[in-house]
Amino acid sequence: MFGKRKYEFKPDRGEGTLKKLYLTPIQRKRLLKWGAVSLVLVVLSLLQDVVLCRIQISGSTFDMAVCGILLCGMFFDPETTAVFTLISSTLYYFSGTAPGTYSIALITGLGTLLCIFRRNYLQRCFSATMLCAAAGMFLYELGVFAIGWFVGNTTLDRLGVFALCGVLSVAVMPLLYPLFLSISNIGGESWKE
Amino acid sequence: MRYLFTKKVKIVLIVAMLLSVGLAIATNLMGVTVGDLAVQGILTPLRTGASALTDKAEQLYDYIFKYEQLALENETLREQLSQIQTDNRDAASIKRENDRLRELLELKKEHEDYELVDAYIITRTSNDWSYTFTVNRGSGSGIKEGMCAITETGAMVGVVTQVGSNYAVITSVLDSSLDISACIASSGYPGMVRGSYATGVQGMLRMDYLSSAAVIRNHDQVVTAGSTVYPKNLVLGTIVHWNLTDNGIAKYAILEPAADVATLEQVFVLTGFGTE
Repeated sequence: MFGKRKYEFKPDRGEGTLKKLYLTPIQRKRLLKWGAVSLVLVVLSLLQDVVLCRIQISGSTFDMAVCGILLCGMFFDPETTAVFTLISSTLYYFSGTAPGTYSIALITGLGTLLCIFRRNYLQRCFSATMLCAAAGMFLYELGVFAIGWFVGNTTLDRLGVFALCGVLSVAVMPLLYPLFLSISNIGGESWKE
Repeated sequence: MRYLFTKKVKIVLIVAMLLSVGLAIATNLMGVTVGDLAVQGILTPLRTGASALTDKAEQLYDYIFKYEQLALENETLREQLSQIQTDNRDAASIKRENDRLRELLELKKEHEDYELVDAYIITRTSNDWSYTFTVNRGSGSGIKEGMCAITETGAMVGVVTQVGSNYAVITSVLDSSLDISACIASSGYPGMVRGSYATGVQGMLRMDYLSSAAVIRNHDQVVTAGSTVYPKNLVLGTIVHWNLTDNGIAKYAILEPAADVATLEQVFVLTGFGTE
């Protein structure tokens, strides 16, 4: 009779910070997906700047950041790819490792166009994705060489070095494919085909 | 395919082109943009951490897989270092000799009649009553007993007291058994200089038999008076203290030697000089 009265209803649980944002499950998964993509691209950038820059094969090295951006862009629809490549190439330029501001236009243009090409003419599979990403990588290196040669920063005999750089970057793409595929499948299929 | 080129895609492509041109202009005008600072400011600590981890991993790899190679390289580098240190010591020694010979050249210009034989000190004897040292030249180089030895600056070091075919023993001016007739350079008062080894003042010279009327000042130079054994005006030392003897009929002076006998490496024996 004189004891403490028990609550009839249990009090609500305390809400976490993310829950206060009132995100829907899909929005949370999208946040997770793009967070994971950003993390992978940052790791690739660090890997390139710190480790892979020390490895030189016939004067060429890898270009992991561009490789990651182009490959990841192949997993989304053209609109998403366009925005993604624009933002990521801009951040890539600001990180200080890009050869110049033209890399923003090159990566965005190539990534978007090849994504459209794949969607229109090829199926969604490993080989089609790899083909388009590899083509994008080679065309990017060729574009950088052409602009560099035009401006006077390089000579014609260095074309082989740029081509080899493309080859080395493409060789790493199959290793990254499963990672980007699983990230892109977070929140459901993103191919939209 | 045209349906895939939506308005959004076109806008993004145009924005990409404009951004490229805009950033190129901004970079040319400002150098470093806000975007550069922001992104690189975030990436720098990550790069620093990654670099440190890479270095550690590389060290571990080298330790595990390249231990023998590193040990061999270490041994080679130690040998090279040892050789370099030896060369360095030799170079320092040669430089000192070069400096002495330059000074000797100046001395030779002042005293063209001096005939000198250079010799290196190879041993020293040090006991309470004598101070001698041995040099690596002897009668084969023209050295005879009684010749005096000097430094490159003309300071007297000692007198040759024993000669072999390829060595000579020099009794230094610090030895009490050596008496050298000398005079005060400024006033000309004569006296006799001997080493202070047995007279209580270690490492100093003592000049005796100075006239009680002699005018003596501290820092006066004392030089040899000249004889058949040694020429005159070889510097013996500098007066640091003087006083009357116990019996009061003469004065004496304590001299700081001009030659630092303890640190000498090379001396020059006067095998001949002109007499005026």
